[in-house]
Amino acid sequence: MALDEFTRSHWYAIGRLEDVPDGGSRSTRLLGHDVVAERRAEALSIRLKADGAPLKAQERYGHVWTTLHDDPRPLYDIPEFEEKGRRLVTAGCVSVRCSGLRAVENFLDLAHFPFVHAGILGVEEQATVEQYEVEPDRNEDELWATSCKFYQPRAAATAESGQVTHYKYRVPHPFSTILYKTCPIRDDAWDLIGLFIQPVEEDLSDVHSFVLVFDEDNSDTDLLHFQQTIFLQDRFILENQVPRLLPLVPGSETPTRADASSIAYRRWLRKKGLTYGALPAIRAA
Amino acid sequence: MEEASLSSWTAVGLSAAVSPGTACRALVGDHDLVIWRGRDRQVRVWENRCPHRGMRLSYGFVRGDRLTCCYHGWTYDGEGACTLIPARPDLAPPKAVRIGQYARAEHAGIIWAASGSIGMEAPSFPGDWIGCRSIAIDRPREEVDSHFASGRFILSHPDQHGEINRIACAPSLNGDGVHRIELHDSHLFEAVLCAGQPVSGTQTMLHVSVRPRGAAGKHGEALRHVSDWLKEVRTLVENRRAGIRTLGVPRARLPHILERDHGPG
Repeated sequence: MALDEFTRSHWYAIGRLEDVPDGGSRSTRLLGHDVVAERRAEALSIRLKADGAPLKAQERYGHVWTTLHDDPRPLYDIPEFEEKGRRLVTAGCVSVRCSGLRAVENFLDLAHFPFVHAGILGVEEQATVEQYEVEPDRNEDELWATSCKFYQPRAAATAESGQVTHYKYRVPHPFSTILYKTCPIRDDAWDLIGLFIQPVEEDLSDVHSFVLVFDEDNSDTDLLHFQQTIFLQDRFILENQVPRLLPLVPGSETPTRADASSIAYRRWLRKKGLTYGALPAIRAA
Repeated sequence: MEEASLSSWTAVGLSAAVSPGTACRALVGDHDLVIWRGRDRQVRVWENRCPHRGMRLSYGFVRGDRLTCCYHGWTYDGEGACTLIPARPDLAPPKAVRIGQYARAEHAGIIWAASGSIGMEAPSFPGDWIGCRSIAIDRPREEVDSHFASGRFILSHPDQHGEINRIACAPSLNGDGVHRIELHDSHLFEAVLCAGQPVSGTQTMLHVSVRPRGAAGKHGEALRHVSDWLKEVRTLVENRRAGIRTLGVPRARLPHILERDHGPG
């Protein structure tokens, strides 16, 4: 189907910086188009494979970004990337056979912790999701879910015992999401974990994830393994949801009050006219 | 391919394959089914989808007489009504949350399903049947059916004197995809029932039960015999005849299925 303007107007991560080394190239696919990124004499260039048309390129947040749009909206800011003392661990790209929108919605969801991540991010005996707030920012360019909290037996690679973890979630882009969670070793800071999703096709996603944390004890490998454990548990869910595309028709799935962020996310996508990776109320003819 | 509509009773598994406390998945064309059995030993066949977020319920877990979705723990009673939403235990689950049901029956060691509105009674097969084996055949069901209908399968069976007899299967058709083979002079079994599940346009799952003859102690032999025969049925239908010879046993000694045109039967 035709690509909607909202989806087309964004930047997308298509690999880590180290995936496109000097003298090297990376072939991949974005929104149904084959693209090639290459670096010659330090300069990054990205083009469409079909006709060689150049695409805009930039390097940020440890990743290479591109867009199919001539006049894209600016890539969102993540100020925490400028903070001293944080460690960035990128987990590379995991392909998931589902719409990227399903992956974002899963990421925003607290209620699955006791079942999908049992013993790590939740326990079934404490499955209640307390009420939290979800609202768009002033321009409705982003969604924020705040005052989320959940009991977690092992909230992070650094956690040695259970704790009530506080969360904030940010959706600055239809295919990106970042969570801010209690840092187990610093009271005044949040740890960040995020997904930059590359929609390969409507129902196929390359998920690039990152961890940006204060952590002096764990190796990069430890942090990576923790993230991979969690994400592979989620992938099993994502590849077994029916349909693979996210239904935006109200009433096609059954939310409850614990699903406030999902409800707000779907409403926001509808309002923005997004159809790519979704089952919209009315498919454009 | 034929329309896999579940508008007639269709075999979807062996009873013994779904023990109490377990759930599994079955496909009939576009129908994605979860089959599960609670402590009450009742089998249920439902739409394989949790209405909350679309997760396949076949990955869920059975507790007592309830099925719980593995994504958020939404729990359904034997009638498909939601009884618990763990994230909001204070809320009564909405009555509208109910899983779509299929009509189901268990006869002859086989689980049968049909769309909920079916008016026909489930197929019934008198006698004591034992589920033998389910075997996947990489051919559409109508092709498997035509092999049975053509009488090309030959099932060998020892009589009470130990003589090997071969009969060309002239199965009775009990409706779509169901083949009953009566064996009057075998000392091992009285009848074999083969019921095809049209999984897709290219695959059939054949569920097979046996009505053994004689003492229970001999049933194992009857089941093994039919199980071996089924592997050969698959080989013939999939047209991989070379596979028969790789068994390395003299043909005459095997409970062979052979093509009448080419075989010694």
